[in-house]
Amino acid sequence: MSGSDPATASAEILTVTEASNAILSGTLSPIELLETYLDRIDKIDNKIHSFIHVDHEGARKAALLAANEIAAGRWRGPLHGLPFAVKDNYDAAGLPATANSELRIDNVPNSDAELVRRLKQAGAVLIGKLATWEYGTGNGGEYYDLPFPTARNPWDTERFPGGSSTGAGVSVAAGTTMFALGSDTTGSVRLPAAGTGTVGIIPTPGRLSLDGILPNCYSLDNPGPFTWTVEDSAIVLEATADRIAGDPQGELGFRRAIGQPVAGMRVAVVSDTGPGMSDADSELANALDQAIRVLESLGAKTTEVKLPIAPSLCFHVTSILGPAESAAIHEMELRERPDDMGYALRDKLMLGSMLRAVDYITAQRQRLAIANAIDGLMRGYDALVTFGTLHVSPRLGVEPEMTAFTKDTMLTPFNLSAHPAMVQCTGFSDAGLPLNWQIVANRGDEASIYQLASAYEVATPWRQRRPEL
Amino acid sequence: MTQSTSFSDAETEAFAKRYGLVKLTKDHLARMKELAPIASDLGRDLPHLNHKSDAPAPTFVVVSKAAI
Repeated sequence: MSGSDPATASAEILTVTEASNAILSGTLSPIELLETYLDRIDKIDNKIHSFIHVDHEGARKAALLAANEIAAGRWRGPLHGLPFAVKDNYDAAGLPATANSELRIDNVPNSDAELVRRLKQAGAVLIGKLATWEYGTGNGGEYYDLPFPTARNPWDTERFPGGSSTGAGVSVAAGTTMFALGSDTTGSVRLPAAGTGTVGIIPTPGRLSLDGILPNCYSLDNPGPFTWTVEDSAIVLEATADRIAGDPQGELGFRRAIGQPVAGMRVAVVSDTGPGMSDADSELANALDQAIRVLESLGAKTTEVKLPIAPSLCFHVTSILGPAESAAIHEMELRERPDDMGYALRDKLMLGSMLRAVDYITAQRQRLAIANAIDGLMRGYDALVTFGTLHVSPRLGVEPEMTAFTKDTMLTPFNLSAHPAMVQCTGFSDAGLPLNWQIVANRGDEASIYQLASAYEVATPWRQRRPEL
Repeated sequence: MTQSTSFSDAETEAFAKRYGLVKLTKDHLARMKELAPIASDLGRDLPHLNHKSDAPAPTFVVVSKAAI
């Protein structure tokens, strides 16, 4: 919980739970809540560029409908009447879906991505479309050759928030939306969550539908929600997720895990980033250490381990899978309109066009070996904690900071191994930038992530602090 | 990482033509030439598996839509 008093707090800093309770009790209307967000977008989004498109009219209609339904006693659940936004690679009926590309500047789909449909069905109010790297593609740079400007980190607008779901992290941290959906191929949910101090999770692949999301890499793409709190994340994931093989009967249990004691949970700790990867910044290393102490004080049983595979090898594998699959998906754009795409996308598609099928298959063979190795480690534990990023949010346009923030991470092993993984704020640097860690669980066991992350969140003061804009 | 020999200008252009990338400009081709050794190094430097039975990850499962 944010600890905000719903009676006095500004609506845009309420959590999902707080706002939902206020709406149910009649002290807050969906219309008033939406207008607070639209006002805030008008006031501050020119500083942070979290949105590509704001749908004032559609959002107002949806908020009015929600207000009328709730007043008539037809409450649909905890997201009813709450504003959200999605990365611009998601389809939403009647709204532009540009993926920040000249190639799709006139693309207006006539149906919703499945996750958007489910959120609308739950009564949530779509505000608009959020900033992204073109087609979700970037190597960490700041790009000046795209239709829409780079989103800026609300903790320091001279810094980058992390990509590719740039706007999703920025909007949730800055309070221009209450929650958001992004997508992750090799870190694109967890990087901006790390950079902006928000909660970003990728579930077990298959839990969240990719239907209606512009593909980037078939074998690695995975959507994920951004929220301010862990409980909010559980609510959004539960409203959008599918059951997968191995799930127990009954409800998914993400929300039920919130607030459960962690005493006795077995937690593997990885603080060694392995050969070929940078060491973490000292402030991130200290924050990881302190976060582990918090878990131990709550009774969790921690054990220092090494990853059985080098994260640098994982990065190497994804450097083949990503470009090769993207080139296969978007080859016609490279053939027909190479001058209409930005430098980073064109680079990736040209690189992918030159990779051999032999090397792609070898990379997929490595992927299975990596997944097996991480499975072997995870089998003895309820969860694993390690760094998310190894550096704090970089200064915009400053190299090698920008590229290092994107490439020096502990994120790609869990894309390859297909384990659910969350990045969560673990405090702030001396410069006031969010620090982070990553919590990983066995496939299908997102509940253990929520259990640990919520216990940590309650035991620490980090949710009390918001960026000032 | 090892550094492969780069394509020549002519080899880069021929490669692009061979695969239908005929609308790449001179600037694009110059960049493609820079990327060529990166692509070959990525493949050559990737560690290979010890056993031929180490199969790829089953990321693409063939189920016809009619069967779903």
